[in-house]
Amino acid sequence: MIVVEDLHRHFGGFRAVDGASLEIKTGSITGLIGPNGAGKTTLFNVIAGRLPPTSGRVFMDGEDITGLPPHELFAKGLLRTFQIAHEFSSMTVRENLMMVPAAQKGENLWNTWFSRAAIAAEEASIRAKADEVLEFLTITHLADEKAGNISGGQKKLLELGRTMMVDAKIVFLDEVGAGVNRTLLNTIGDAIIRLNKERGYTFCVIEHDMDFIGRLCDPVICMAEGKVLAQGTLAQVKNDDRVIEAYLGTGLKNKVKSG
Amino acid sequence: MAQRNFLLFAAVGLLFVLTGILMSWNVSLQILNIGVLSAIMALGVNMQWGYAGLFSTGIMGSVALGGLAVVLVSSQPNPENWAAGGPQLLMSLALGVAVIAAAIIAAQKMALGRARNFTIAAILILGFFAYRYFFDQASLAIETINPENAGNLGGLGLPSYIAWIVGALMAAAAAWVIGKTALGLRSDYLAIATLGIAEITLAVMKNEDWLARGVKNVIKLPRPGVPYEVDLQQAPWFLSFANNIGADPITASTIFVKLVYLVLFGAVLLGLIWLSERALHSPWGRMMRAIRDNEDAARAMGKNVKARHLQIFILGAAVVGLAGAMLTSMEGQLTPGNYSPLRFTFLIWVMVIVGGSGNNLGSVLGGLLIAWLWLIVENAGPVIMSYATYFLPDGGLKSHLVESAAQLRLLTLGVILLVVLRFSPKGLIPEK
Repeated sequence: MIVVEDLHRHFGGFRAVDGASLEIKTGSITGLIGPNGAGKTTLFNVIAGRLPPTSGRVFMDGEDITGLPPHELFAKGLLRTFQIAHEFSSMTVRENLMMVPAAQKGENLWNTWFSRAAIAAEEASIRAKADEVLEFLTITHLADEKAGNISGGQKKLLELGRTMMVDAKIVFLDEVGAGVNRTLLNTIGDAIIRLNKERGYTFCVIEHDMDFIGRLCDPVICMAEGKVLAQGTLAQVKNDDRVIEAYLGTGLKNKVKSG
Repeated sequence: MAQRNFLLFAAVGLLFVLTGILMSWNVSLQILNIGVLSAIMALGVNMQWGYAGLFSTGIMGSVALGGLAVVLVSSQPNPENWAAGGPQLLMSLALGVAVIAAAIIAAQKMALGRARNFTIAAILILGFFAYRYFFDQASLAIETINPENAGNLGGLGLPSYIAWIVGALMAAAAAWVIGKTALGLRSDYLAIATLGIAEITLAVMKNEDWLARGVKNVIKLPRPGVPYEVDLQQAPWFLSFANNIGADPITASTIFVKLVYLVLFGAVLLGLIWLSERALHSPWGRMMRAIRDNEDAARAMGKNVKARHLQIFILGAAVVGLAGAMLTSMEGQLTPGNYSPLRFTFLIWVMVIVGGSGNNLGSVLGGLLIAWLWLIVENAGPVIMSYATYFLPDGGLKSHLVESAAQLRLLTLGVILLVVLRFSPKGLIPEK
């Protein structure tokens, strides 16, 4: 379980995250919605150790993980994907997956020179795992393609695939559906649900597509202006006055209510 | 691809063969040896830039430290200078370290405020003068004894091979310090920081006479087990060997010595290529490429980017330092005045870029080709220019053109760089 307590992240005078407190329950697929500029991605960046918080705490299963660097969070099973796909463009899709497992023997220089057999054995098992992931995501045909050449949606799938190379506990997906067509989005949705059911991954998903959120997420958390506005099922959150106001402004709120 | 690479290497080999036939084999081998050392330096820079995207402009500093190591390790000790001030000098250096340590402790232990600031300032200022007092006494004592031939502490009198390893270690240690302080900087700031630190290194070497005689140079450094020409010319086995192949003993001896160096340096180069190729085509290499492609994503995928940058920065500097030490051993003298950023930083960069950054073979090719151009244009330039201007009347213009032709090397390199970047933007042997 992730607990965020009164988190602030300011950029100069701009309060991107302004006292956000929330919980992500183990085993859930929690949705994080809110208008553009609500502070969702900044919140992700602070939780995932890419930005230090101005103040506030983040706990993972009771342990204080505030401000830990990303590679230490990775070791604890906290993984994230990026709003704009961060593929390793000069490497093949398969290599993108194979680089993920931690503390590979072959990452030690000495072993690369003098323990080739041990590395080869390890590589074979990592490669098999990567091929499994490719099949799960139905992109086996892209295995040897340079990651820089595949489509934006496929890159999003690849990012999800990277999180499957290790036993993650919680995965933060930042707009995994942005710029992805319906069919591919459904594939991604299926993959998320399967990972959640079969492997027990916890997810926290930022997404603007409400159909996608409605299909996957319970609960849904809505943010605006750096604060958490409402929390509950999508239906509850959608009908919350403050949420409607945040999305549409005060003037339109009354029209929506009456109409 | 393999065929193209073979042709490129064959073409560069042909350049050296033509030099041997048209000029002399002595010159050709001399250039080739420097080319091999340049190729090793280019390999080191390629590790930093090609594998990890770290832009260092302090390559000259690593080369110079390698050269310094040869003096400190393989030259003979100067016992009189040691007796005059050696112990006191070491003591003063220890004092300097202690002062800095005391200031660090004060900074950590004391509460923020005016008292802390004053204490730190007092420790540093008083410490500096105390350090200089002992240091100046000692260095003056050392430098006044036999300044014509020594005036420095001298070395340890150990074999050159140990000096090469120490040279690599010294460059690595300097890179560790730079890496710890400057690797967090973005690319252009790292470039400026390393440029400055290299100049500081050189300034110390030029001014601290007790260390390596400064700009008075250290000569007669021992060879790394390679025989001397004069000895060969008197050795019966060599004379009969020269006689058998029908060569003049003096020419044969100079060529023989250069061939021995070539075998030695070539073995080091091949060994380094083997090590780096193995590392590159392994999960380690994959991880480095991932870091270079996208640091943020590599971090998010659990890779400790900072530690890896430091590792590759140190390794690259060590390789350059090794080549620097080998160069000084071959030249037999340390001439700090000869270390210039143009020759030992930017020329190496041209080698890496022309050869193809990210590719070890490319760096080697670039090293051999650019070193050849750099050294040959100075000799061949005036000759070519005198042919090109033979129709001009003798006089000011003609002699001016012929005289300035020796400076053509800069122009040539610029042209080569532009042509290669125009027609093969990723270098002659691009990364796969």
